[in-house]
Amino acid sequence: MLSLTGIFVNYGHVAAVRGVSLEVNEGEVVGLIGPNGAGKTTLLSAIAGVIRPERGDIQLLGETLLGKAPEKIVPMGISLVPEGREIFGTLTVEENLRLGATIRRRDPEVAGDIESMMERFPILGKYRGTHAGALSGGEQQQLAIARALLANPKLLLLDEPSLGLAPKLVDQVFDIVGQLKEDGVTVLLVEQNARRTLEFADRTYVLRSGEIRLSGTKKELSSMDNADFEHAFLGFHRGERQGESR
Amino acid sequence: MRTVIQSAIDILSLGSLYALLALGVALVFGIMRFINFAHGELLMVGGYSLFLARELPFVFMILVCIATVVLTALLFERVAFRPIRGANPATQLVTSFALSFLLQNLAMLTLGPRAKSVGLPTVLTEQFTVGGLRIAKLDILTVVLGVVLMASLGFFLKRSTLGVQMRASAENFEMARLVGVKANTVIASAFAISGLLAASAAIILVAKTGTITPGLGLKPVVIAFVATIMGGLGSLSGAALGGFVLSFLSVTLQTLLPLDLRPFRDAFVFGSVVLIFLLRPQGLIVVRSIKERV
Amino acid sequence: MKHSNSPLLSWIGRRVWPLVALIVPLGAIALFGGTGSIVFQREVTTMMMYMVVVVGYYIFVGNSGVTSFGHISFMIIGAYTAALLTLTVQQKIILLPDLPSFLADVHFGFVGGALLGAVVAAVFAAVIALPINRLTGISLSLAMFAILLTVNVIVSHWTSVTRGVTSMFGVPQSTTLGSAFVFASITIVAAWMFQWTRVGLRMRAAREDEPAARAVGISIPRDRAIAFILSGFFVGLGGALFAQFLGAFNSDTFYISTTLLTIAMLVIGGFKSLSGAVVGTVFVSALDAGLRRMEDGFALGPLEVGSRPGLSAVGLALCMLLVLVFRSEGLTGSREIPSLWRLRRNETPPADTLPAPATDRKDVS
Repeated sequence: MLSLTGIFVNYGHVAAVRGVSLEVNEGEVVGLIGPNGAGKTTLLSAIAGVIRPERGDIQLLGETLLGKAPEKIVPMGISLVPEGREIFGTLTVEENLRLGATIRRRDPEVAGDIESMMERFPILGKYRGTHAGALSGGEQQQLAIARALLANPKLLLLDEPSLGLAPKLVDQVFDIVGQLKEDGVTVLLVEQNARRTLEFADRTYVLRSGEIRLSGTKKELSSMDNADFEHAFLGFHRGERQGESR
Repeated sequence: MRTVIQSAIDILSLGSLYALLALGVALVFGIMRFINFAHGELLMVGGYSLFLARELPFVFMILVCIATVVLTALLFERVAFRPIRGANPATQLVTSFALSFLLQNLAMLTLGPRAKSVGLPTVLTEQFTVGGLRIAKLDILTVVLGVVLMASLGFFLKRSTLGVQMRASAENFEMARLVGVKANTVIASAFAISGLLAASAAIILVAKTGTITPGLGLKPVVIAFVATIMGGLGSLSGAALGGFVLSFLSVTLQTLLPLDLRPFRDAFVFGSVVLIFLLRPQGLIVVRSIKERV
Repeated sequence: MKHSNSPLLSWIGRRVWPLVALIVPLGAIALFGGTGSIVFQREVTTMMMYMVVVVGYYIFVGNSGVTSFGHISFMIIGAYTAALLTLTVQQKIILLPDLPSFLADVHFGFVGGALLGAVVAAVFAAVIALPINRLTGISLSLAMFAILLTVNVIVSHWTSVTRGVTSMFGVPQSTTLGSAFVFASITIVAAWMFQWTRVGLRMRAAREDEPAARAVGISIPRDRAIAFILSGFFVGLGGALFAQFLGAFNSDTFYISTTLLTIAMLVIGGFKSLSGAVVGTVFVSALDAGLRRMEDGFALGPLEVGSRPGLSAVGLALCMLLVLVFRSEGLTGSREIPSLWRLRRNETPPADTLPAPATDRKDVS
């Protein structure tokens, strides 16, 4: 469904992503994990059209996304739930949801979908007229996900949905993602929480220093030697103490 | 007592005009994050369009004025501001300054430096007497027009889809695009509305003074800046309120200042901007902050 | 190459050569101007005086990265101070009978008028420097614009001292091409030296990355205030030279058009480098002079083109918009003249500035 081939992204003279290729198939939940600064968010920004890769190609269902503005990519079926949620704090919860359905102009089902979204996330129904900035972190995360879903995406990009949330709320967020999976939504999940993601995703890629170091299905990765996995993730064996020797 | 009521009417009428000016600037600022110096030239263009259409019936003059100004505003956006979108704020500010200067001199070049006059229907300039007060019909009209435009703008931003999109873009432009809001549409709409507000202000201004010069826009745009700044850069209700505060200041100083200081009134008004900046960098009216509940 | 190994040669290459490379061509222009017609001489002199103003303006804008729309207020103050000091006592009795006696009874020569004009402008800059420099970005630009407007209103109406919109005239026209060139050179040297002082270096670091600069404890307002005062001094000097060149001027002589012209010079050249300020001034002055000649009407072969007031301003604004839209770092790309030795080794000159990072819109709000 989504395929990235040989993506390079630079920030000034710093290479943030170096030759990443990955694949997301229809109906899958694909995890993308890696330490801070590995280039995960950069990669999602490139898919969503916020930044333009130096080289490589990004295709959704055979059509390239390169050079398309973010507002042109959303109608193609990709919605991003960005890091830090980025809900519109000065707007009401309901207005935020309405904005989620921006691309569905003149779709009579929008109103009904907003109502059912409020049933699915009861807290949003409860605070529908409140300024979204007044919601708690977990509530804002639900709002951000609901907002993204209202575009009826074929593919949902989730950027660190558990970041900054209390453990209980992290569970809640993963429950939501689990539900999405059952509903058949295709998800690309970026996380720092490696263990949870591995348990959860059908397949997972490990990204470090802008390159894919490891990838595999849940089964392949869980059968792997712990030390080897850590090496891929951290770049060194625990106890070795030396830095990268690349 | 009579002078107080007379002053109150002056304040309201002048305030409505200032508020329209400030809203035009603040609306574009909210989304683009730069102050459009060339807003004053929209007034100038409006003035000259009234002059050029002076042979037409009054209603058509107004329609021509609105259409010309809105188109000019859209042209500004397309030709000058779109190419530098995302450039640093200094570049954008300088660009709008250059644009303003270009238009003033283009007007000078094509229509000459001398003032043109337009006779508007006498209905506008008539005065009537109520309980010993002489009230200009134009003042009443200004207030009515101001109230109607501000209310419609508020309603539009609150209720319409495009309005909600504009508010979202003003808060977080990139995220708005990520939910599919079309950047070009929202920005063009902001410019079009600011053009509509400028056209209304131009009509009032020309009705008040009757003359049109290439430099027509300078003082109004400065007033718009001052009001916008008072309102806390980017808050629309703040900008409108700033317009009224400014007109209050201006009218009161005019009556209260000793005679030999009156010529310096504008220095006091402009000087107050610097003071406001220093004392309250966030503006006079601080937007109610929304605290995060965790 | 051996050159770059010697510290002295390297110092000359980096610190002295760029200065020589700016001032020597300017001297050549001055010499060439001296041989031309009177009109041409006046045009070159005007350029030299704008050089003082624009390089002075650059000292603040270039180092801080913040545009000021009110620097011409220093020029106004410099010009009026110089005029009041160089008019003879008898002239003042006739022109300005109500002048306070401490101004009415003094008389200075050309250099005294020029320097005191600069000093008074610097004092004014010092008064507003600290509060103004607590502001940043757009707020500072607009606050300075408000100051320009305030100064203009005062100058227009304080008729007992300034004669307001009626001309101040009879000021001895003592600014010559030579003296203007000397003052321009002094200004360029001062700006270049300031750039290499600790304050200058800190400011340029802060210009590129303000949060980082704050994090290492740089007091941005204080540094900027120093540059602001120095800048006010030279812009005031430029105003004082103009007053003594024109002989007659009024409250609208140095106002919006001058603001635009000087900003155009800086922006078209590239506002982040001294070379940009110098190149921009030469380029825009030439353009302006050419357009002005066309404005007065000219014959193009058999074609008579009549007088077109406003033409030069339109041409200038268009040129400026084109540069802003297509080459926002200016003609020089905001780079300094590269070190002499690097030039010889044919290396790519180091960029003085990194490409501006994409502005994060959320920061502005």
